[in-house]
Amino acid sequence: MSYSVVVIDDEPPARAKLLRFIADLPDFHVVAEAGTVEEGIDAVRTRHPDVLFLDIQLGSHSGFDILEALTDIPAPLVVFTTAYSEYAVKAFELQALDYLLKPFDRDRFTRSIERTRQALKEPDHSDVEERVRRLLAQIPGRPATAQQILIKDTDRAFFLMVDDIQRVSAAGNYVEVHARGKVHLVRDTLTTFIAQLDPSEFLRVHRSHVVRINFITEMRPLFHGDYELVLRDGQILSLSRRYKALLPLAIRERL
Amino acid sequence: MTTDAQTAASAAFPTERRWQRYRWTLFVASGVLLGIYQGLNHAIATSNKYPKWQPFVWEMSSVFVIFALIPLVTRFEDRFRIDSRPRSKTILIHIAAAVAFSAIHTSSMVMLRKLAYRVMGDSYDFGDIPTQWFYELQKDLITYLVILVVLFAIRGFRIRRAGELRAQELAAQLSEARLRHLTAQIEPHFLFNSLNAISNRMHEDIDAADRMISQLGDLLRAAYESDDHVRVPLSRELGWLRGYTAMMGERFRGQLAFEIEADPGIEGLQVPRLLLQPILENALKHGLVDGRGWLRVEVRREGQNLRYIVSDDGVGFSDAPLVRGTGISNIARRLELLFPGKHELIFSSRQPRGAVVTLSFPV
Repeated sequence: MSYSVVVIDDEPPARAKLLRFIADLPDFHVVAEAGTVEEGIDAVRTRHPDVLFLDIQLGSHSGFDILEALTDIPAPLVVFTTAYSEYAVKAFELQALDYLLKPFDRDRFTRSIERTRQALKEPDHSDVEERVRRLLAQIPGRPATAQQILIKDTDRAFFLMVDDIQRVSAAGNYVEVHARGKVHLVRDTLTTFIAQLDPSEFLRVHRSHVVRINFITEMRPLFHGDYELVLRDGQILSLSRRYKALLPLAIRERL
Repeated sequence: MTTDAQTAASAAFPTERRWQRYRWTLFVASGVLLGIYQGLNHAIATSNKYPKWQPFVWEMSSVFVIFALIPLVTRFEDRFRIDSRPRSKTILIHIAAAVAFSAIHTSSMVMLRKLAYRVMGDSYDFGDIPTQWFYELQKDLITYLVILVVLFAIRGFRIRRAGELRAQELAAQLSEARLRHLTAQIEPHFLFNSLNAISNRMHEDIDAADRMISQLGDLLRAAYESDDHVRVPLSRELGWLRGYTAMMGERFRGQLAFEIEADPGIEGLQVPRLLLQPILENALKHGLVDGRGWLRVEVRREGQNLRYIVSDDGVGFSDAPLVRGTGISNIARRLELLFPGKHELIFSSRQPRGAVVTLSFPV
């Protein structure tokens, strides 16, 4: 099993260095490299890599622009690389996302690869996707979250107030939007749909479920640090350990 | 007194401009006060020989005419400066002017006095005209000379003050440019990306990596330099430029190409410090946005002038809004202070794409 990698950096020596380090790994191989935002988006869309090494500063653009353009496809695991950005580094740490500070040596690279291997073994990366979504929401100058969302039902299209949405769940090729006791089916992926929602109001509690925070009434501990969430409409959702780590600190500390 | 020194002075001191607005009022007021003062003196000296109003009329009529003539004398002196050459010609011109001054002064003064006497129901007698006129002439020559001396002193004072202001502003602009230079070269992105590029180059070519380390060292050393010479030899101005472009060229190997070309034998010329760096940074930041393209710096001697030509094949000025950031306005201001009216700073587009910045100044 060999994982595919895309390397995005505007400086050729920085790419060359990553390529050399990756070439020494038996279980990773580089499928594409890119130096601009457009090339980067194109590389990820066409090669569907497992891992993305992404530079934050790409000339006058940002690596975040690439992630934002890719919310409609399953995201690769991202290792951010940056020469200097106090702000971004704080955000990575807050979301427990992997990053490499340039210049890095082989030891640091190896440690980062170890973490990436661990993460790749997990069958489900939706929690990482969720961390990236929260990261993007924190970056200053990003588009604000929507107030209302256009829903296309079978026979009509209408605007749904975001304030009315209680939870969103994945259902095959559709997303179920639960709002004021009604369920609307939207042809979309969960990741793309929730990109419009404010991550501080909507929690991803499972790969298939996103819930408005104040729609949760109770959290019951299960075994192995897993939890069960009781919602206001009586429904019960499970909260796995990995998603528990994504809960806002204020809630997590009280559990 | 040049006009830009004037604007520099009035820009530097807003209070100065307020003074300028009222200067005619002040001028007239001081004329009136001087007339009253002289009249008072004359009245005391002649005690009760004449009606009290007469000494005032004599003195005030004289002072008023002199004050009315001062602006004309000022303009005349500005045309024929007393410190201009040939000296003999200047002296003759001003002697003639002083005689004319006296003729106008005396005749206008007499007319004013006659008018005032008539208003007071009296009549004025100037006395024996040649005698009186000679008496007035020798006083007027002194007055004219005093006016010239005062004008000369004011001009000297203004030039010196404008020079000081200019020097002060130049120092401020230069220290701003130095700070910019310092922050550009030890800007964290520049530093850490350079280190990263070196750490890659080591694996490819040890000697090249070595060169990069010493270039980075030179740049950091230049950034830490603390002398404040306004001008440096061209070789030094080009030295950091070569280091900076070499480092950028390594970081964007195969994407960015730099060329620096200077006419032979001009490296020792004294040039304003750190003029090229903001232009280069501007080109890299706004012109070659994706870190791709070429950038060329030419330094040409053209007679008494030195010309810098910085061209690139980036987006040019038509696509990108003409960014005259603070770095560029700093250059423009320093050029104006160093070479008022004798420099050029031109931004133009290249065909089919790219930008050219041309800068020339006397050396």
